[in-house]
Amino acid sequence: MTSEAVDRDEGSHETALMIEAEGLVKVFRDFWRRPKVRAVDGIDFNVGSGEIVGLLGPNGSGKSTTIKMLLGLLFPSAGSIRVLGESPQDVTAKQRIGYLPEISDLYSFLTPRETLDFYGRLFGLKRKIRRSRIEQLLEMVGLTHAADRQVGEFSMGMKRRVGLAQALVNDPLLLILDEPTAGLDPPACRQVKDTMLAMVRRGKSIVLSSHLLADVESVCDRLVILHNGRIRAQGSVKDLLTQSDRLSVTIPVLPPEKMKALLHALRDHIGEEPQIEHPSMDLERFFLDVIEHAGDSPLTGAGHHEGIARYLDGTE
Amino acid sequence: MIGRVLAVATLTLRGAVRSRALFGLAVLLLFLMIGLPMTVKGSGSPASDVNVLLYYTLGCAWAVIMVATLLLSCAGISRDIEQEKIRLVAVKPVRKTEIWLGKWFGVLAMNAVLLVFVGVTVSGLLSWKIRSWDPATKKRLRQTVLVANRTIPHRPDDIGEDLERMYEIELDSIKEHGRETSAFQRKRIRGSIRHALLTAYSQVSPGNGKAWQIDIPRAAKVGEPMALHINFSPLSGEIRSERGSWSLSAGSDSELVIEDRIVAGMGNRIPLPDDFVSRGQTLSVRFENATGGSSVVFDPEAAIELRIRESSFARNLFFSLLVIFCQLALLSAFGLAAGTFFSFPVATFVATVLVFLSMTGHYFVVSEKSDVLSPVGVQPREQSVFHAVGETLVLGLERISGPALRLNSLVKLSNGLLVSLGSVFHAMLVVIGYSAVLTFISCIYLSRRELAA
Repeated sequence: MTSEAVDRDEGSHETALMIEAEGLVKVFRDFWRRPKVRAVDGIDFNVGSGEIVGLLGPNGSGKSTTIKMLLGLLFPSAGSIRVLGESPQDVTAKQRIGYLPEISDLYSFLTPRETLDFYGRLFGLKRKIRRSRIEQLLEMVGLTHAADRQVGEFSMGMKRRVGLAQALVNDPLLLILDEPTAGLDPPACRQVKDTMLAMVRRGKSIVLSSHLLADVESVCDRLVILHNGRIRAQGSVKDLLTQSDRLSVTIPVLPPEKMKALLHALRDHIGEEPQIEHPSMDLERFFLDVIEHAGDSPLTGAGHHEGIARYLDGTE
Repeated sequence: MIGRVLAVATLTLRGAVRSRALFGLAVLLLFLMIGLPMTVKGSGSPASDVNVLLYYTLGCAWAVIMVATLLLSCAGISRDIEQEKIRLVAVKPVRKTEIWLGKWFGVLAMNAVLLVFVGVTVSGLLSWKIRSWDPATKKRLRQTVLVANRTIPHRPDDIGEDLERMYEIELDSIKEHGRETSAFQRKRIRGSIRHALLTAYSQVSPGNGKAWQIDIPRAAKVGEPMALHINFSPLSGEIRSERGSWSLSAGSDSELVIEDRIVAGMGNRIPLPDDFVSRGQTLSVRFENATGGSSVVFDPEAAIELRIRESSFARNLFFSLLVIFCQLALLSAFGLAAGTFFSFPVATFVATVLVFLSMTGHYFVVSEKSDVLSPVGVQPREQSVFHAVGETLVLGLERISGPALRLNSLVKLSNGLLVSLGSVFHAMLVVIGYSAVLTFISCIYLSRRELAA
């Protein structure tokens, strides 16, 4: 998290804590009101401004239920939630929240442009602002060419992009993303992450639920790991993942005799055999480099992504 | 708030258009409106052809739109919840009332489009149909059917004392047989006696006469074409005609004596000069039975009525469609409410059953008024608990839905009778009142309902 992000003024809506959840419990009941499943079992967590918090956990661990309670779609059986200082049911708080659900529940008969216009109208955005943002978002998610086709004709990845665009149409202060990269190609995944980072630089907060641990690791400041409705681990990514008793050193490749001497010296000092390997680029970076250097075959259509929408990175 | 409501309304209408529901309905209505007059034949007269086109065609179109409205409105919210599309809407800064009203206005917009289509098509068909008729027929149609005539009824016969006396006698007779009567049965008995008395008062035996008086209201539009309509009911159902002499007078200057035949079961009409009556006057009408040996029985409720041209047919059609629009608005509010509480199939079933039971109850009440159900002198049977509960349920539903079910403009339109601005306002008030209650209950439930699983 950068100090630039924290310093940026977001007006009167900014609160120290974007989300405060305390003793949160959700029990699903059957038709006769008998308890059926205890999906969330007394969890406490906070999300501060300008941070990305990852919700991790296997299927059925309570991630989606927690998110739905944050959004007021489900009511807690016990405990309390404050989102942007208000109850999740409060309409004014929803003005500054963006949400991308796990499955993009879009109206299949609308085009992406109409979809964004519809949600923009629900946010009460003026027509001029709506039009400008819609064009920027369509460009950002690479759907300008398909802006007037019905969403029902789209692939899952394209629907996902429309879903992401609608979550950003109000320039939210708090963004809640449920599996945002599911079904997206690597450039789109990278772009989602870049968007998240750009937003966090502007002091926005993000709650990210994902199964893709690499994605979570690369963007999140803090992690909340859930299992069977309870928090099993919570803290900053650095604190949780750093092996403080181990160290890796990266050096240029040395001639064999120098390497041999270096290893010998190391072995003498640490008393065990040091591990030596060539550092490797992660697959996502490699893939993006290949695409970038494809040169004469520019990505067109659904695969072509522009940068982040100007109004999202604060340049507009 | 209005922006959000309109956004949801536009979405709903767009859904109906893009799913081709609107187009499919328009095609179905077009086939119906063109095909039905070809299959349903009237008596062969031009007036009867126009009547068929207006009453049956518009009636069937109304029924088709009604079913479509019920289905679409039941699906309005329930399908969005089932398909989880409401999640993305509910997390936006939208109140549940705004979602509900938006859905309602969307269905209303669809109804408006369909009714405009029906109105334009019916007008076009009418123009096409009457274009080949001779000018005299066209003129007659414009005075009888293709017009908005104000109806001024005669003063009712005073049967109060006789009614009370016969009612007491009937109740005593039932008690003597050791039977109890429910409130509904007592109401039916009273209605039957009233009907029997009115029928007796409406009989005119050979050589005798009967007089009526019609008070011309101050709001009536005098100086327009007017006619006296006579409703002569056949006792045994056969078509008969009777000779009679009619004497009409209004004030000192207007007097008319006509020797004419009246035909049972047919619309008997005596045209009057445009200036025959003035506002605030009383028109006196006397009939002398000139037949040799049979009594003439007039309609007990409306033996004669004066009809004065009040407005054009186009305005009447427009107002009639407005009343139908109000009925559909109420139905869609009801369907949406059902869809708020139940899943789509359950909501459709519940709404359909309740509408059917309400209409059945309405039929019972109307039949009871016209003495179809309980002739005088027939002792009421013992009621089972099942019967009593069913009767209470159906009549209770009728009592609740009665004001909406009584909003019927098609009969008036197809008979050239005025659908007044007052009746349109009345329909609007009924819709606003009932819909406000349905909106309130639905929105309270919707705001307390979890919109995700």
